[in-house]
Amino acid sequence: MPAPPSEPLELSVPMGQLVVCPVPALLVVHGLGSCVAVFLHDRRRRIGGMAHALLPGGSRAERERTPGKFVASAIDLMLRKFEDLGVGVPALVAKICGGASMFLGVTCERQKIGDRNVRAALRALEELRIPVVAQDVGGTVGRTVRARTEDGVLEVSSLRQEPRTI
Amino acid sequence: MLFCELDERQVDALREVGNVGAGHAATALSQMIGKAVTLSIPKVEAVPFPRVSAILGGPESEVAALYMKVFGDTRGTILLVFGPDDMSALISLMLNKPLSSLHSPTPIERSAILELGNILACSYLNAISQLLQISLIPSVPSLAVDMVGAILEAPIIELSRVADSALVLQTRFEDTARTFRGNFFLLPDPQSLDTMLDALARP
Repeated sequence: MPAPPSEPLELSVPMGQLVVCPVPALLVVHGLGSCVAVFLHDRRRRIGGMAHALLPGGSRAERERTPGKFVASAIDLMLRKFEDLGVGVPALVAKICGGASMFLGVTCERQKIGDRNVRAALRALEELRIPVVAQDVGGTVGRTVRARTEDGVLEVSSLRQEPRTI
Repeated sequence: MLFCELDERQVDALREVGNVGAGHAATALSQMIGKAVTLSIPKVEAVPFPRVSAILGGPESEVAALYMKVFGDTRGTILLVFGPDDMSALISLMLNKPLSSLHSPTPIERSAILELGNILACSYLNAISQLLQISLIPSVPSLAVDMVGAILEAPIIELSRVADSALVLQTRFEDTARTFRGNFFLLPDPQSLDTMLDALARP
């Protein structure tokens, strides 16, 4: 008899950090606002990785000190971790979430940082030729994202809205 | 100088500044609503960014927040955070009738919420600027009612390249009937904090 399915391992991905997980797990970003969550998935080997990046770009020194904070360097670091597991770029697809504008009307809130984060992610993934197969971005609401590494399905939930899967 | 390096004397000085500001805010609020309201700052602490959402009930809990930028001689960000019930009760008290909905307030309710932000921010900033003899001007507030984590990302992104923690002034509002709680987050850029602490250290 097969063993009953156990609850998958749940790993929270805090701001400025990233996780690549080779065993069945839920990678979770709780309360995502204008940051961007980039999920990379190898369908065949069922390995998933998630980054929770804050900023579209930084100086070279900043990117080296805290690569997880910046979109492109966070993706690069994830790719290195995939490589360590024997997964190359051609095996990967991407899904992205976040990039909201939480406080409309604050003229001095760094102009549309959420949009810029999303654009930076799309640009970096395009340069790497990693197809973006789904996205749930922009708007004015926060999101919690739960990514299953087994099948690459993301559940996105916001307050006062039905959860959606992408 | 980072917030986490503040010593006890500096925290005391900042709480003192906060209480002067709270006194001003209480006067303004009381006059506006025609009822006595007292404000106090029971606690001041420096909180590293990753822990800020935890003290507000976790990244997914719902809060009402007012976000303002500070201009003038020093720069920074102000975030006023209330539980939805506390914010609703405070606004009901200001308008002397129940709030229709925090998520889609009427224009008058909305302006009461923003006015609350203005009163509190200006009172605190006045106290600080009088003490330090510097000019501090808050921007127009902006309101969001959403998950703590999502709300905190806006100010943290602004400061993440230069700082790693926020100064949190817990604020308690009391009228005769009940107590409301809010959190006042002051996030000066690190240079501005040095200016403040230097001024506070003067005898």
